[in-house]
Amino acid sequence: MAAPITSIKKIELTDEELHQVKVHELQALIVEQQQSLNKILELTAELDKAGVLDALNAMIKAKDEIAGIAVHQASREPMTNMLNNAMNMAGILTAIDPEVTAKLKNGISSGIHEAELYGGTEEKVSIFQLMKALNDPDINRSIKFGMDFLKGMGKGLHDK
Amino acid sequence: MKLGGVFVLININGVNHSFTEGKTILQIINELKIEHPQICYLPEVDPIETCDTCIVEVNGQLTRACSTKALHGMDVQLSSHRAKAAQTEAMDRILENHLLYCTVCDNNNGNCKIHNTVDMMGIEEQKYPFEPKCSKDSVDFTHPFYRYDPNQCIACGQCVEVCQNLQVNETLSMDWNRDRPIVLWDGGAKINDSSCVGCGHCVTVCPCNALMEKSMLGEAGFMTGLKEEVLEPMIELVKDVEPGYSGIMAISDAEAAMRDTRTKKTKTVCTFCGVGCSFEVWTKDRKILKIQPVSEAPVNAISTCIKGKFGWDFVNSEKRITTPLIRKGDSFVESTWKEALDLVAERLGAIHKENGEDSIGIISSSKITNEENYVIQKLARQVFKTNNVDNCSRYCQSPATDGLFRTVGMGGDAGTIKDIAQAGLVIIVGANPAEGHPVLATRVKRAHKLHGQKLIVADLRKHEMAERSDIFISPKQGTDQVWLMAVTKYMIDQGWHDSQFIKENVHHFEDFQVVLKKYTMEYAEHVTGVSKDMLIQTAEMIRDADGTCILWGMGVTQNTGGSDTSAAISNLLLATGNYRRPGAGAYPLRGHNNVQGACDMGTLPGWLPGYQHVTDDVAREKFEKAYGVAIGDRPGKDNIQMLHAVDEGIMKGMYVVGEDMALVDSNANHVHDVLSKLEFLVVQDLFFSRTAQYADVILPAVPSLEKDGTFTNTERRVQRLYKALPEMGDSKADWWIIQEVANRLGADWHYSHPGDIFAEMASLSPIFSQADYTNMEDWDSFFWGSLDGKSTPLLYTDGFNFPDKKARFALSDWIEPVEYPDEFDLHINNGRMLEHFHEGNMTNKSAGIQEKVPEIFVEVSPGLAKERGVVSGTMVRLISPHGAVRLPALVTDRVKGNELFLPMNSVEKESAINFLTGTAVDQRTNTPAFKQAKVRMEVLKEKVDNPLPATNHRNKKRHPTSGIEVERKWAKPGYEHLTDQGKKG
Repeated sequence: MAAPITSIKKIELTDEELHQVKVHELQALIVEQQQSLNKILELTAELDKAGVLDALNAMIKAKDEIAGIAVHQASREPMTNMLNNAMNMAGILTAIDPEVTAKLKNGISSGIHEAELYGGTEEKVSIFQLMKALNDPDINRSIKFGMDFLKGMGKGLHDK
Repeated sequence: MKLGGVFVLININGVNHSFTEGKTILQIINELKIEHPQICYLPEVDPIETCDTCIVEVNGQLTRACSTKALHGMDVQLSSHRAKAAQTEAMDRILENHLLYCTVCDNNNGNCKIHNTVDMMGIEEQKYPFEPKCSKDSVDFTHPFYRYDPNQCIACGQCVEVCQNLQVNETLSMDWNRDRPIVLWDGGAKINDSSCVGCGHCVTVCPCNALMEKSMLGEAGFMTGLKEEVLEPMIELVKDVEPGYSGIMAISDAEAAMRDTRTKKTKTVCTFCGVGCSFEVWTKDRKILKIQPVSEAPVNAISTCIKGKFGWDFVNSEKRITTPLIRKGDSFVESTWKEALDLVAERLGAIHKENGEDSIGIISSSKITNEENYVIQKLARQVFKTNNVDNCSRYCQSPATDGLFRTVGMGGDAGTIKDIAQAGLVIIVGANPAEGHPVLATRVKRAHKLHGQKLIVADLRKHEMAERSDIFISPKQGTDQVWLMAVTKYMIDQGWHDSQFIKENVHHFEDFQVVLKKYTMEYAEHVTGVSKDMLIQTAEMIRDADGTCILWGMGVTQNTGGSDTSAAISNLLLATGNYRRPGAGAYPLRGHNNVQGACDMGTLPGWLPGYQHVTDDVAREKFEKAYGVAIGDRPGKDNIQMLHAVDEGIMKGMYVVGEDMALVDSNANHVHDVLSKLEFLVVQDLFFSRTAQYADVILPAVPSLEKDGTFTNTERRVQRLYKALPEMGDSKADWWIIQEVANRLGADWHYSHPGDIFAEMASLSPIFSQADYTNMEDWDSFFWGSLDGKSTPLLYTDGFNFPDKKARFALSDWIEPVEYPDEFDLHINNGRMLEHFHEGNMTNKSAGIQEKVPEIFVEVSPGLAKERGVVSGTMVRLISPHGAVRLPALVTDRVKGNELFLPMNSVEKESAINFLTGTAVDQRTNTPAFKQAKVRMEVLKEKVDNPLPATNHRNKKRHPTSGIEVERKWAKPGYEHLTDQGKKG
């Protein structure tokens, strides 16, 4: 014979027993994970020595405020300008074929070398010399590159 | 490909492809797995045509791929200059309405359609800057389960189309009159104050985060839980910086990949009703983030109801039992598994040893898996050597199964949900699928609204399906068999029957005509109260239909003549040739997720697994050999007989799995007395049910999300479910518990996974012989239905399930319902409500569902209310010969005259229907005649608030439209067409 009952007695552990259960679980975990625990402890000791833990602690506590400040700072016009500039620059750089920049780099360093060789003389360049210099294939190549570049840039400015 | 002698070829991007005729260009593109934008394309509905992102160039003309039928010889360019330009313009128009803050958006989970399309199209910037359409506070948070943000809405209208034409609840519409359209509920109400039933279709199909499950908000992402003060400027910052979108996309893709490692997505099968919806459940640790339906789900595709989409809070409810409990004195005390299992084995073993096999009875559950049902019948037959095992189908579906066994030979639906959708006529008798089987009902509602399907409803109540029907008849309670037979007779008399089909397929036609003799139209009109005219119209509609499906439920089966009425339905279908063909047949609507499977697995007193009867010597010997014991050759005791045996002192020990007998059995007061008489009762359940109060040991089981296994739906479709969550606390899967009990009683079982159990079952059951876990992986499924064990979606194509392949007309007269003394002047009906499942043990753990339907009530017709001075909220006492309840009234014209309706979602003795129902049963199966109850009503002085909150959808009016109405978009002033046809006007 079983009358309907509704009372359920949960096994209520005392604080002491609960404490024991948790300590037990933790002990088992320590034994199991001893190696990795040692490494983690070493790491935290180093971080603490360097004062990193204190800083992190404080940052985490103030995370909402910091996120707010960061976003606020980043949203100011100079910052958004900078970000846009940085991204545009990055855009320019990614748009240029690396082979071209390699050539340009070689050209520039060779030019600097040449200039250093003949530098230091106060000699004045006459119109005639300039005309004559245009016939020098090396100088002519540089002038053509400059003129083509100016043309392209002018086009680009017009499009915008 | 050669079709009818004609080559059908299409040239896409310069490559020829063959295809099957009748498809759209987009369907072919998708089959070929060619990437192509298609924001508003939904395979489940007709082309929506609002987004224009799928535009292609066909023979030089720009056209929408989604709505253009592929024709032989077409030249299709997906990425010509013109096509690309149109697609990009379409996407620009979309992005004007949607801010891409993907990384801090809860919808950034790898499946956001807008995100993925921006990615796919390589869009770097947008032509029209984003502008909000509404003020910030116009986000609608009112509904308990989802929210709408018009400022993220791209007005693609997928939500509108599914609400109008797939779910067919007809709540959502697009405000095309607005300069920048947004979605409206009931033409402009707050969501929670609208006719929305919370099915979740709209949220599921939203291609972005405009419609979101509230359970996802602030939970899905790593940074989505940020406070508004930080989130807002962060979004602004991204806008100000204006990076190319590929940069944003890359970051958000990376974040989505991180989410993927944390969000677990598991396929499961819904545990609420018998429709068998499957979907992914997304979890984060134990938190259920959301239910995500997918197009691949074989029954429901993207469809769900409020319970399947949102009703899962019970899984993490604090009310779960998570430790075994043992009765000690006047309390249950927590114990270890060892202690509890030892006690169960010792006590049941001792009772069995002392008193023999009839002293033990086992009740299985139609909520647990097939594998668990199999081991439960094995525990009964092998360990306790008894056939005393039954399941809750005894309360509902046994009469339907009986009616089908007698006539056509298999106890299951004749076809699938697709057959129901394609039938020319659907007849629903004594069932309310819009509330009891919501997703199945959507297919009928859609076919009826869009595809000319006819609908006849026979019911006491004017429920939603009745409102939508072409013919609604309301026969007197318990008289369905009379009108069914009269319509059958009338059709035969008129020569509208299928005599060729009968000649070739059915026995006993002459005898059947003799039985029908008395069922004239006049007799039917007199008995049922339905006019002759209506019945003739019904017959004509069956005559004219290209395929008739009859769906029925508890309104038929829970009667003294439930089995015979079910057989009469099958007779009508046989007489009119509505078997052995698609789009026709008999469809008993199974109520629980696995009521079909529980029966298939043999937790029935007369049936071994796979419908092999215990009287069949060959089948029984096969099991005897496998189990190593003798099995009784007579059926054991069913549910009802077990309670009688307990009452008589013969049965002394019972093991009840997941069934709240004390609440769901008819005449519950009597059940209480009986349960108290048991010497030893084991209850295995999720919750501390009313039945558990009588237990000696309570064993904590787990819900479907915490285990592997299979369920079988109303279509006979077996589907796998996968474990999504670990077991809560110390609770365990039912199959594990049963195995532990069996092994303590000397069995030597070694199942390590439900797959082992399924394999053993299939090896012993011919109809499952070709089923195994590998052919049911993920979204694949298996239909039992052939003796050679192959998957059989449509039954009887090779003949009916009798040795001579012929069906039989069942020859039974109508059985009159139970008579009550005159003082019990009101008939009381009962049934389910959409929001709650069954008695509500699971769904009443959901705060959102409780907000919509917080309490129980009895529906009273306006006429009766006026006569007795009752208004909504008046407390009434209902008294039957078997008991009494006390609850508030709800006045509604869903019921008429002296008929009351008491929904069954109550777990309280004060208001549960079965404290009123009586002892009458179906004459062939012992199923209680729950529907044949009468009461008298005392009106009490006390009055409470209206028990149905003003925000419940039943208090609102739907807003039907033809769908998204894209023509209204095209007609808007200033709208510029992107297709060439449109440009021409």
